[in-house]
Amino acid sequence: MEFTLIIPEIIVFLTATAILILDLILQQEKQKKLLGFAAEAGVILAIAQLVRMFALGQQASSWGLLTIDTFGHVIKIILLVSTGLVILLSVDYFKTIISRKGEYYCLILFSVVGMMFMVSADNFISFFLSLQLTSIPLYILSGIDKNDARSNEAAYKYLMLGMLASVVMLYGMTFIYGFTAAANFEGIARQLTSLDLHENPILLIAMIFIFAGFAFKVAAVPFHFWVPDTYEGAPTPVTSFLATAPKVAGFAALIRLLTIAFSPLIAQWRTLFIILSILSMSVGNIVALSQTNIKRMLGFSSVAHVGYILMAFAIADQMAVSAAIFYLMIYGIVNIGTFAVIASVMRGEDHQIQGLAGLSKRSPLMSLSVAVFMISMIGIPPTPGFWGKFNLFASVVNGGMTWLAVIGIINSIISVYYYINVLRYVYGDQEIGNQQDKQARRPADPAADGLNNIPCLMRLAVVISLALTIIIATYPQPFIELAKAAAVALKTGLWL
Amino acid sequence: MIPLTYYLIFSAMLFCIGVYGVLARRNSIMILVSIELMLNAVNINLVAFSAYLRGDDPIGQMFSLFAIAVGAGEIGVGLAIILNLYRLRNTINIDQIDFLKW
Repeated sequence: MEFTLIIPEIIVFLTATAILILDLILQQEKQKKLLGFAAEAGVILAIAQLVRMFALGQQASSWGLLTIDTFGHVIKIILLVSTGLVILLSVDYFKTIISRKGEYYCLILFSVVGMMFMVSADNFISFFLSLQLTSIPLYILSGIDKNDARSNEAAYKYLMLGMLASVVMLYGMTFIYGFTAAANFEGIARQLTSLDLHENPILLIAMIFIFAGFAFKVAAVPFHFWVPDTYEGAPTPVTSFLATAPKVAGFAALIRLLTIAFSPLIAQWRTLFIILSILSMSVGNIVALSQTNIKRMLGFSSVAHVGYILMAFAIADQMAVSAAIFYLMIYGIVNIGTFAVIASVMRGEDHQIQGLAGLSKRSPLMSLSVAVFMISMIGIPPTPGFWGKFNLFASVVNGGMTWLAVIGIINSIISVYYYINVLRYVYGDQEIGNQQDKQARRPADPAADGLNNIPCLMRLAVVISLALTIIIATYPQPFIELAKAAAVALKTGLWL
Repeated sequence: MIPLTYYLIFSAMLFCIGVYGVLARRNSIMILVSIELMLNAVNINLVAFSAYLRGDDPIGQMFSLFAIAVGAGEIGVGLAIILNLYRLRNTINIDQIDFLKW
């Protein structure tokens, strides 16, 4: 094993440690902004190193714990880009809210290190450790606003269900280990081919336990109960982080686990994922229709998006997996962009959708961004969301499950209602809604109301996501190729 | 020598008691304790499998050590969050932690 292969992880880890020390040295509150810039610098450095490794095509499997390959490089770049945007968003958002800013950046970076290892893990031990390294900082992050009971409650609910999910998953892993006498993915696959599932039905149960843990991590129905509460209660930049990075990492780890370790059992898990995906799409979209809080609504909409991505696992060929990776890229950028807008125009409010009324008059840039992001989430043609959904549905039809794609399309049509509803408030008249709505809207608190002076870093985060969205909309081909390269790099028996 | 099945049944029972505790208890601390019970079921499974597999496979024992350490860290964070919630809300009964509802 050469340490050069995990340099990106080492860079992020050292940055996190350096921030802790820097936090002690910098005494004045004004200088604390530097911590955010230091975190940003570390992330950018790690992205540069990953791009270099991707260009060189470095691959290695080592220690029996980690596999470094192109698939990992691509996913890690997605992870780090979204983390960079979240950090950009946080610098001004948390200026007054939390007192110990060093902790915040350090926890975000530790969590990202966990995710990066999780993407590379090809052994139950390294996978479990990196999963916990990802989750534990996330529990603390969602409760980072210590004096806010809502933020705490969000952390509490996430923690309780998260611990339960990880223990259930671990219990499943022990049976797989017991029956195959191996903990690394390739060894498990070798042993599973020789085991007869009818003689060992417990293997199926163990597999279901492991998937339950994953379904919790990526928030698929019926394991999504923490999503609306945690999304609503957590501070908005943390929500944007929760909604993207852990999901991307969770899906990547799931792809590696399914296509390598569980590839002999494909007939069994395909059925499971069909059920999970139909449930997630339908429940997510239908419940989102009735939400009045925009963060809750986006929580349910993300459950629905998870449902679309899970369709790819129901097919599980190379085309479907690359479509899922491409969808994850788009999902990440669009979601961070949306939450960035919410964070910059709705500080110190209770995040009702009515709060966005008349935004187009106050800030044309922000309302344009909301429009682009919402249309992209629906998947109307010129936007990246369309390319993502098109690829995904095409791969499902290609895999011979046209009826599943039809369910997906019906669900996309349902989702039009609640995404357009947001735009109705943003672009509609100030007078929209009845008297009740107006009363619900709290009078703007002059200190918290930054509507006319959105800090430039938040503006930058929105503009970067908007720019990336537009780039993917106009030139989707390189990104599709990137996702394809990632899927091809997986050393799986399913498409060799 | 005690057969492997006995260990597995014991750990399955422990796991089920833990699940029952999580579902039935209303006190957050008791829920944490129940989750810890489930974690112990996992560890018994790992160590039992590791001892009975061909040639004393050490991976299971190693895995259980990691699981214990990580579990302790998780419980630490959990207790801190519950403590902070108690300071703000004066309760740790999960039925009363209901600010976020639709």
